[in-house]
Amino acid sequence: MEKIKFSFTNLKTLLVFLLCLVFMFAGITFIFTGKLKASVNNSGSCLSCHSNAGKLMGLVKPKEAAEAGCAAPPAKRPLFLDFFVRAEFADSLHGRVGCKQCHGGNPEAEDKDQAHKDMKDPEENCVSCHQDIVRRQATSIHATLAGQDYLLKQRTGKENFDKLVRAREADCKKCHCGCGDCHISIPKAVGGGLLSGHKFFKTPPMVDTCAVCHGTRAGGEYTGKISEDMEPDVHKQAGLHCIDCHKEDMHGDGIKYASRWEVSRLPKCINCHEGVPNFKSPAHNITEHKSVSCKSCHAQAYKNCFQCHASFDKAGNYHRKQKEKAVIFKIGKNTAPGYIYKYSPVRHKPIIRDTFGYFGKDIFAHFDQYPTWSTAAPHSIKRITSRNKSCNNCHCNKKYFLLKEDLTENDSKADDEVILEEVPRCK
Amino acid sequence: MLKIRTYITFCVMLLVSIFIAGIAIAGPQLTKTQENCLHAWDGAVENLKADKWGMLSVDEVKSMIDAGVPFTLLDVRMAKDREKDGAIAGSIHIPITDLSDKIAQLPDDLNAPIVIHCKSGWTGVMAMTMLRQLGYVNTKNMKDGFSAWQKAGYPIVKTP
Repeated sequence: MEKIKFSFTNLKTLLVFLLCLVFMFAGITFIFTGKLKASVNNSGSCLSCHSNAGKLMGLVKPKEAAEAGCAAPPAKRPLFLDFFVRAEFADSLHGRVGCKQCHGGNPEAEDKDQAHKDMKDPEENCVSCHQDIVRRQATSIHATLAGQDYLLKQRTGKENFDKLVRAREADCKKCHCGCGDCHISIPKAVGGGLLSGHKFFKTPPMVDTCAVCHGTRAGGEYTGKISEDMEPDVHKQAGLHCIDCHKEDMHGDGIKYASRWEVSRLPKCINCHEGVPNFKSPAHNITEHKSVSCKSCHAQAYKNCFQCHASFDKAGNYHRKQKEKAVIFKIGKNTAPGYIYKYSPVRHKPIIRDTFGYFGKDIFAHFDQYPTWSTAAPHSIKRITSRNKSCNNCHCNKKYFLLKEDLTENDSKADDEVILEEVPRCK
Repeated sequence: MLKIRTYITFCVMLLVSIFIAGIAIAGPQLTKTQENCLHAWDGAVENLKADKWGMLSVDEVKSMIDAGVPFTLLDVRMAKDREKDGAIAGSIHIPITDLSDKIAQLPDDLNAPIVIHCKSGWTGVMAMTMLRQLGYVNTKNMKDGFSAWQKAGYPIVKTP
């Protein structure tokens, strides 16, 4: 048998051939791995735009700021951040799901319009992994906004409630809160936009989410922003987040409540402050004080709104304006069902008889059956306030009590049940 | 009747006057380079105006950092100011006086976002305008400079 002779020429050819094979294999692997990663992520070219800050800056055009109404817009930030996705998001737990799985669209398209065709509501996918929370949240007051409808329907009656469809769609329903409005984006009520590069926040950043929708009252009081001479709530100063008190009622418990006062497990001071009231303090031992809520002494003033009117202009834009706002403090008789205290701070509702006069005559047909002053939950807690510095700071100081003389012709006749007959006498 | 000589003198003086007036109205003659420069400047001003004069507040810059936006934060203060007052973490330092020599330290991509800051905002405007003229279309200036960052209470790092 003839032996095969390995000459230098043959070896050189063999080496060249092997090198070619290696490069070809490496190239195929590289391309295949890239495509595999892209197909696993289903992100395709989405991030080529959404993670490219320079590109977004050029693409995103300024927009008109939405009328915030009772919401408080978050701090100013560059508009392109609404759409910016951190590059590292693709490797995160939610990022590995892939853009298309939640958002739809065409990740492979190079053109923006084609890429955004057939988009879908990403929140339809939350239930895939978070069944229990999604189920409970669907009936929570954050989702249903039942409290707003409840309060309106009391005063309109069934006969007039449907006349407010346009107003509710343009105004009340703006604050409808889905998963993303807390955990991923700035609430849609003030324009939306990704909070921080599409990061998912298990505990939403309070100032950019909670204090946006609940901005002009609870959020503003809590942060001390409603007035220059007010301090932030003592719980805010201690570093507490909204959910540290409201942990039980954020996602709901699966029960559809009509109003926030009906929600089970509402925050109570004694949940954390065991042993209060402190009976070593003389003020807590006075019999009459036992029917007075904690906030009557330990809350700063809070925002009250008066004479709100809602309408559409000729261009079809919705407007809601209060004629007057005041940061004041008034103690009255409790109106919240099931509340254990007889006396508590009361807040003026922004409504007036013809708040919705644009939509018809006597929309609030039952206006006088329900008070315009009602039990408040000021988020402006402070241990020592202007009222409790001394007995007579509060007693015989009529500015802190809701009296007959505080009512106007714009208030409801039902407020007679809320006012105090007299100011507590001086000590 | 005027003599011919007087008539000619009068015409020549009239023509010279018209010529001088024409120059006065038309202004100095620009070179091609000057014309190109002015044209580019007009374009730069229009772009800046459409982009809110390229200004970002300290809150906006902070929100970009918090959101993980990849951008170049360029500190154009003089070295002594940076040493004395500290710096924003992650910023690169090219004093305004050295900027033209050290352009290579900036990203190759002319679309890359660059945010400039100086001490009070004024020098930053010059640096921003210069970089935009060079083609860095996404260059911004941090309004009121490092002083505003300090006033806002945002984190500062000591520089070596």
